[in-house]
Amino acid sequence: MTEPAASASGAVQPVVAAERVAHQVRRRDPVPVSAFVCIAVVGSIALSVMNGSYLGLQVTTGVGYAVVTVGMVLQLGYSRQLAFSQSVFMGVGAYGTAILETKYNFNSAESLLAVIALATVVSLLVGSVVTRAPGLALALATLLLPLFIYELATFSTYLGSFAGISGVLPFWNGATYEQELVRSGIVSVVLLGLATGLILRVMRSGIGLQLMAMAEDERLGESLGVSLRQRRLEVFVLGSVLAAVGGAILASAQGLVTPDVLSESAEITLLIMVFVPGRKSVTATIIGAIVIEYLTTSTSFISTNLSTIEGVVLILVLIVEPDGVAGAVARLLGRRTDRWAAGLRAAAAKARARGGGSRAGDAV
Amino acid sequence: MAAAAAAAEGPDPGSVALEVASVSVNYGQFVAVESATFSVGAGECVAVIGPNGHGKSSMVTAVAGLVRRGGTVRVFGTALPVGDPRAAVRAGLVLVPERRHLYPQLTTRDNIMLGSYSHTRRVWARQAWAEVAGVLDMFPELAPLLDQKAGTLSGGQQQMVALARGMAARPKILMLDEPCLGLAEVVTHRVYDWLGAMTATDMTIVLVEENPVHALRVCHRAVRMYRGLVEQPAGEAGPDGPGPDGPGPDGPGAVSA
Amino acid sequence: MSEFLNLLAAGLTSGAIYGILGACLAVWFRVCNVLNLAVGDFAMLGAIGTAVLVQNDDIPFVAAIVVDLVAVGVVAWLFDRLVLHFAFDRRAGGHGIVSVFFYTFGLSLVIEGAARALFGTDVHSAPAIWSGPALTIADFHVQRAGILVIALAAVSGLALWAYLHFTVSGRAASACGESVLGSRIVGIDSALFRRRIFIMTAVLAALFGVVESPLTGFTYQSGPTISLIGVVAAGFAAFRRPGRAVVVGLVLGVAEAMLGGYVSTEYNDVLLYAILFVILIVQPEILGLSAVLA
Repeated sequence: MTEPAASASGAVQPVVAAERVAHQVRRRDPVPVSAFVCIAVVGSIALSVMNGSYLGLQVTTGVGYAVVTVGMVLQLGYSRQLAFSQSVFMGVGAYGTAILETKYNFNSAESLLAVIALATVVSLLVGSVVTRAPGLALALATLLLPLFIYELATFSTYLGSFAGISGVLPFWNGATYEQELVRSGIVSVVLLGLATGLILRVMRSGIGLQLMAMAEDERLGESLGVSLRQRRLEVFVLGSVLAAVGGAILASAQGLVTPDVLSESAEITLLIMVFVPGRKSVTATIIGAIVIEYLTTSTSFISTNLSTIEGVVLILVLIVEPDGVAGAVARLLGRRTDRWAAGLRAAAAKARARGGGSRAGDAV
Repeated sequence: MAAAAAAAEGPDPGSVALEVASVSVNYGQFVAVESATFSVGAGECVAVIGPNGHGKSSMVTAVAGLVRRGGTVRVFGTALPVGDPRAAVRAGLVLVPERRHLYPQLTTRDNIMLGSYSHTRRVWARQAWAEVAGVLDMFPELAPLLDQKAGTLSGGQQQMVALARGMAARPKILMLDEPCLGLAEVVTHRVYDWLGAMTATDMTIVLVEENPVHALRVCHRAVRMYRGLVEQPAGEAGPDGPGPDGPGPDGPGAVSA
Repeated sequence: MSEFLNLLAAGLTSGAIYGILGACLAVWFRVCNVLNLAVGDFAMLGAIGTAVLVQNDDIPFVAAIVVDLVAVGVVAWLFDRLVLHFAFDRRAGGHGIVSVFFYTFGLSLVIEGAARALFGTDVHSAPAIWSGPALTIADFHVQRAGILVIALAAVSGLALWAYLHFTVSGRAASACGESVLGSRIVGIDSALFRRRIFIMTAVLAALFGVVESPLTGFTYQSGPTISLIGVVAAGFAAFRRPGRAVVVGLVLGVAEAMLGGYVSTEYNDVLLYAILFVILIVQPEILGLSAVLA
């Protein structure tokens, strides 16, 4: 056993994390699968209990956002890829689903698969050019996208102008609206589980290590033999496809698509959902996305003062703890476990001193 | 040059230029410099040697006021406030930092000119440059590079710009942190030749150098840093010693090469 | 011909908006490598604040402008003291991408929320500084406020360019953004430059808002949109050249107007941004961005 106290200091942490990741690659990693099972089971039970209530709809919408934010954890938090195109790809998912279902009579499963394929192709195309640009140029390019795509959607009659497109099918039909909502919600939760498992798998693999090295220093990563462009592109595509899936979930939960999903404020909401809970923690952003969606749609005080609250919380989080609420919790827990460990060691030392080492096993 | 003007008098053995008393630097939990105490006489050239990662750079950046420190630093008897690099520069204590820290997008001319920032009263960059253009006499190889961006220069040229910028600040005490790190042999020689010439003036020099053989080519004596502590030469070591070693410059017990 | 001239005038007017905000963004980015996403909100505060002071409180117009600009300066100073100071001075070097965008993004959200609470959701516009009907020469019309906006853009762009290029202080400001440590060792106070220029650009943006508001009107939500366009203008000026940002802004405005006049009034923005996007992707080198990122 190494000393747990050592992992508390900030400088040592990446190294320790890297070692831990490298260690896990060698064996079969149970975490992604168990995360999938956990999310699917807990989410399904929770949605069944809510039984198609308004709360159920809010949670399902939150799950849609959560799928997007899970991708953003990899993109923004983990790889520090400054792309602000998630709302655009949510739009690809949502509008794609709506158009395929209302105009071409696809069913919901077909349209979901088609949308994933579409998002992959589009993000490959966009990504292969966008990711050539490093850092700020990438940010600028992806900031331009929402600017004109939003206007395109509001003017285009094919995309339903301001009213958007209604009549999007639920993922899973049911006899009543409530049943439909519960069933679609369960499908959404399963999709969230899959997304989480996938992202965790990537983050905990050798590729995850490469991404971490790139995020620290691109040149360092390159000198270590990381193929920068390919990794950047992969991250971009993965983030974009998940955003599209999230968009499809939103569309099917609400039964309609409006240009709002493409607007700057949608992107702002997403960024808040990632940065406030903790941009490096998948768990935190899932919980955060659902909670923030719930808060913004159910409390009138929050929804009227939304931007003030978001701004203050964002600034406070960044100053106090750049890794968000998750970082703060981890730090508090770490401090506490350190204290426990120190207490145990002290007790063990005392026991050893008293019993001549024979009772040192107590401490374990 | 202010430094060269009084060169004829030679170093005044009685006065202490830089006095560092129990300076400590912590980065969070990590103690980089535990307690550094030494002093440098006016006109002296002192090397700070010691292995990598034993607090040499942290010590000089702390002395220059760039990182928070404990302890006191006196320049010609005046104590410098903590965490205020401007006060250090105005007092004549100038640092040429490790890895140079030039302004890559600005021209060589501007890089050198900004060395005089703390004492120039000029508004226009052109006039401020005219005041310091004299430093080019020391670095004639920079004359053709004046309008080139500093980031496009070679490592050796950049080091020369860093030295010229340091000289433009009119130092009474010049601290150089690893001036030859990662440079070609030719450039190293050039830097040391220049340093050798500087030791003949009344400018006080503190040279941080990992390689004692290099350092002692030009320096009168050396202090050694090990694990964040300055190790005094055998003769004057000991906690019972009178803190700052007053008559420092003539200490013959310095590390000899 | 007259249609062309009118489009040109309209384009230059809206281009001046982008240009000024781009210049404000660029000069502050140059000092501390942070994008001020709240710059549009400062313009909004300038416009709405002055309008409300004049209409509701019967304060003389000039006094209202002064009060308002001072108030904006105080807001900027407070933000620097309460947020940027802790984020940058107390910590070694901020933390990468987060600092580039998100502190000022938070500020933008706060200002927007506060403006909604204070001023409501109506469209406001400050009284015209130079009132009167549009100036007309034959078929060529140009708004008086438009002339002021263009002049303000040209003057501030030129002034910022000259400051950065010809003065010791301007060179020192650039040095802060190049190397914080390198600037501190020669005695440049990078925190002071950051604060001064932040306040200065906030006040400039607010003044611009006052001048511009008779043309378009402002709501509490106007800020982010014009900030974003400012970011684009600054980005096409390598994020750090205020003079060039004004030029880029004017070109963008004219291009937008021409596309609107000759191609499609609905899709002109879409087309413009699509063209910019393509330029950015195909030829990132022409922007000189590689220099910023190196």
